[in-house]
Amino acid sequence: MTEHSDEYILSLLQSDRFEEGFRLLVRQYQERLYWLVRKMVVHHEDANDVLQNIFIKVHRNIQRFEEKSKLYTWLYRIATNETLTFLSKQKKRQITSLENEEINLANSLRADDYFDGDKVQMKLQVAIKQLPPRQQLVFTMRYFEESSYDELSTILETSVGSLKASYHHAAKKIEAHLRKIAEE
Amino acid sequence: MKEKEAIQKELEQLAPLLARQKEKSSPFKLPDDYFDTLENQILDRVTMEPKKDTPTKIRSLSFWLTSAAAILLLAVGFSFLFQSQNKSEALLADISTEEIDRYISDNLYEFDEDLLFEENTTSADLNSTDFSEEEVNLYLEENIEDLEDLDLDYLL
Repeated sequence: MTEHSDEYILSLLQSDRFEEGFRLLVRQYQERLYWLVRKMVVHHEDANDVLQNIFIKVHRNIQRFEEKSKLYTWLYRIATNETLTFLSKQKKRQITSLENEEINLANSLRADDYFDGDKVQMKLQVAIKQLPPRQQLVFTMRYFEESSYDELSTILETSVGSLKASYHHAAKKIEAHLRKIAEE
Repeated sequence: MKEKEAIQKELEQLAPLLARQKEKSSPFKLPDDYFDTLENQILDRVTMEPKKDTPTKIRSLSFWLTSAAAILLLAVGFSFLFQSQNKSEALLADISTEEIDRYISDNLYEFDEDLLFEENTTSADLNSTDFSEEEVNLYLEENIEDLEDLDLDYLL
């Protein structure tokens, strides 16, 4: 797919070629945003729902985008906010214990046609899901998306020091979880 | 490329088992034509949405509705304190705690999103590694379940 600059996309969105601009925006960012969301919510169906909601919100609010930040940063902020909202609502709906939550996720991954991981990869997903949502987000964006701390700082509006602390703490917790599995 | 190497090096020092997991192929799959069909699915949903020509007015309407609801809740709270218990119970009887919780949580999210769209500026001094009191509080709040094994070195 041909890459278009954000400036070009924005110029279309501000003209009478709005729909063409919006289609380009979706095409340009759908994969990047999908993978970020998917690694947070794990299941494809959930990722699809969240991603569609993200683009609906973008469509609804793009006229209010004032270009104080980059388009990429603005989209990622909406995506991370929407994903965290989904995870918080999901957590509220779950009234089961932590142990049951682990079993539920493991079972749903086994039944998921779009998850093809081995035992350790499955346990890794379970361990990531045990993190508090915001720490999970920092971990996902650094570990899977390979974002720099400066990028994370701009998107999440948090200091680099605080992000490092979150990431290091999350990685150590997951490592301890993996070590426990290896010893079993 | 340098950033990727830095991330991998950091991970190897921090969590070697986790670093090794990165070498495996991704376990996540998706339908083959997913990205070919997504654009039209979104456009279909967007065209079904009611048109919002005056977002500012709608936002301020939602703001006033939220404020009115908050005032109403406060009024109910005060009447609960100062009026007879029977009367207050009668006022609250029709609203379950669950409904109130759901209302507040739903409207707070909307309000947060409005602020998010409004504030697309970045916070100042992004390179600072000093923690403000607010950030420390936020961090503690996020990790409150894990305070026992919290490595204080990272907070200092």
